[in-house]
Amino acid sequence: MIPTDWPRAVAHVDADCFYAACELARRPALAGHPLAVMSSQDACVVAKTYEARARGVRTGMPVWEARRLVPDLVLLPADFRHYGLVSERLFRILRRFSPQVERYSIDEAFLDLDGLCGYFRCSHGELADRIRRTVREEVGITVSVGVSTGKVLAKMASESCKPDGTRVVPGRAIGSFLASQPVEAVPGIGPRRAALARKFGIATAAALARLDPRRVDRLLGKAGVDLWRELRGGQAFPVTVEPPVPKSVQRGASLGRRTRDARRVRAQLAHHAFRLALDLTARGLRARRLRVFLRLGDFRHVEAEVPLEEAPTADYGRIARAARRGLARLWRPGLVASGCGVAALGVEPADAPQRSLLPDADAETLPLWRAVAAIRRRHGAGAIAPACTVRPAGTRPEHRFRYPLLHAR
Amino acid sequence: MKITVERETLLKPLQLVSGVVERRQTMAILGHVLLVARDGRLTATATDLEVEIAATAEVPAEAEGQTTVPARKLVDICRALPEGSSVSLTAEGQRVTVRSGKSRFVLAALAPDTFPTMERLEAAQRFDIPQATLRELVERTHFCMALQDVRYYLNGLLLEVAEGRVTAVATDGHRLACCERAVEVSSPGTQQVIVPRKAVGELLRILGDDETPATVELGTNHIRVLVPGVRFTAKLIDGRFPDYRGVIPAGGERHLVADREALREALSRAAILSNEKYRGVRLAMADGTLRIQAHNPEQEEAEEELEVRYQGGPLTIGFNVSYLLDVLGALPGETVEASFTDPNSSCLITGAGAEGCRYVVMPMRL
Repeated sequence: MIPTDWPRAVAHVDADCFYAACELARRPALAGHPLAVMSSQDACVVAKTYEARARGVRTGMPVWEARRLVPDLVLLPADFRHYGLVSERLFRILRRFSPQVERYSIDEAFLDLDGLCGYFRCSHGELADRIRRTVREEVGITVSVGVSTGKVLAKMASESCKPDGTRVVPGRAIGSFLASQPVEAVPGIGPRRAALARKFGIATAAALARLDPRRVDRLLGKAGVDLWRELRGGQAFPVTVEPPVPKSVQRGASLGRRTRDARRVRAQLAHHAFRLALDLTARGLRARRLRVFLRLGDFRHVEAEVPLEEAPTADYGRIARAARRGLARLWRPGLVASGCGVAALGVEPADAPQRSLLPDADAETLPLWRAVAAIRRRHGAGAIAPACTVRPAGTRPEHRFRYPLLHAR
Repeated sequence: MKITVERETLLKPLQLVSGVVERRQTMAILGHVLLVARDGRLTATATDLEVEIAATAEVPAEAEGQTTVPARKLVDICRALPEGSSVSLTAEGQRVTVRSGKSRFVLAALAPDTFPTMERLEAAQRFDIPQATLRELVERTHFCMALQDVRYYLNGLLLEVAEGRVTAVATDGHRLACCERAVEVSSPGTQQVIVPRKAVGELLRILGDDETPATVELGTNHIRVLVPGVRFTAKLIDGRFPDYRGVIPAGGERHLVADREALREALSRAAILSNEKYRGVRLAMADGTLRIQAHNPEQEEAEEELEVRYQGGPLTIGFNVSYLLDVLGALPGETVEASFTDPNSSCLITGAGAEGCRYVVMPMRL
């Protein structure tokens, strides 16, 4: 299919059961026990160790079901702050191996390895092993590494050697590797597309790669043709170091218990607006509109979209006011809410190339929010927060509910 | 109500008002046009509750009265009738019958007293202005209005009335157009109104190109413009327009004079290979020449060189090419002048033959 083994070289590094591994790394005594990490309100399983998986625990499973299935399962609440810190350490290590690291998710990265074998004087396999060893020694978690000619093949390779493995697929080995992979192992081919492909006798990734591109286009569309090119050793998705600007950024959570009290919802939304504003500021983004959404007691979902004043903005005050306006449009007396959140829409980089003629409203408050973010990094998220999200003196904390706030005044 | 009229006489007022009617309405009556036959005149009125246009034609009525007709349908019927044909309109109860030659159409009418009109208006300011002058004020500036910006006060045109002058200003936050004309108007202070985007477009449709005066009335919430045969009324945007004087630069030390048409052509060629999203072009000027460069994410490149008069040290500056092209398209004269301070500051553009017009464009980061 392709003239050389390495027209390009890309590595996919993927942590093995990342959240659970992070917990194990700081609780070595639990090694070997079945362990699972729960979602933010302790409702369901979001990560589990291989021991727990072997006994039937699945991601997304309700906690009560997992407990019934594995009575000695160690269930831990999620600590996303900690996972974020571990992730930062992981990426710092990866950047030692390549200056071009794409952050694909909290625990997944693509590394452009073009030409780096010569620089490190070793083979791709040795380089991958060295990455795994360094991460294990310095972070205490294991990663799997796939190396191939493009992102799609690299990801398939790392998936196929989990946990704690290395798989190198050079150009000449692509054919035999793909023959061993079912068509749904191709990232981007979900159950529906796989079912469609199987109807036409395409059961393995190799069969997909052998198709005529016009048939691929007919079957899977343009996205399918891009996958097809990657499967044949080409590159349709280059490693992108700059994170793309997201279409929207969202913060929300379950309320812990149902409520008819608009003040509780308002306080929750202020809390989410605060987290959203700080996140936008940290990522150098601004938004034009805000979507406010509620999950109701009967599982219905309602939402309202409101413009942000002085948009585009990342200012907490403006986002919180928009959240209140949105809630006012959604709320009716007698409504029962079980969750809520806010999403920033019309997201754009704060430093867009086009300069503005009119004074920038965010410039005034930006230093304040940078300082608030710094305080939270240093002293924890509880150190500083908007007053309307703090529990009033004289009220009791609610046990099932771990967010710090109760009522907005 | 019954009238008989030549097709063209009926079509003219209908076409003047029908632009106001939205394709989809919140109330059925807003899809209708109000027809009133009285005192030898036929008046057609359309509204979307924000803009209202009433156009009048000399039509003696066989029976006076009023009715409403679906606007779009009546216009389409009249337009499709043969030129020069005679049309009769008869309103009886909930039906309006249109007859012409051997054609007959029966349209559903709504009660005319439910038609919302903006009849009364308390005018705080009233002045006459030649139609051509008002048209020029709008035409030279309106393209800088914002489009659906959350800063709602930018989605319109600022009209500022002061003693002896009227100024039109539009900005979308990246560029600004400002045009000032001497007009016989007495005003104790300065009055500002923001005319919404849609109303500005409709106003351009009714304004003529000659010196016959238009009467402008400003109320607290409305603007009304009267030209012979047409009454235009619009709700104003309730908001404070940014201080536009503060963003117009005094003029930098770098000064460029170029042939307008040559510059416009060079820029529109370079624009073809500029980034589709940001539309950036790079202008590099040094004594006597202006170099325009553009490239896109596919690494394709365009380069143009132009002889210009330029004073000041060499400068390289980036702009959204569409903003420059809009300005060059709005200016009438043979030459344009631009003055710059540095690559991060706004640029002031003026043109021969458009005294009183100033354009400010913010650069792009290169």
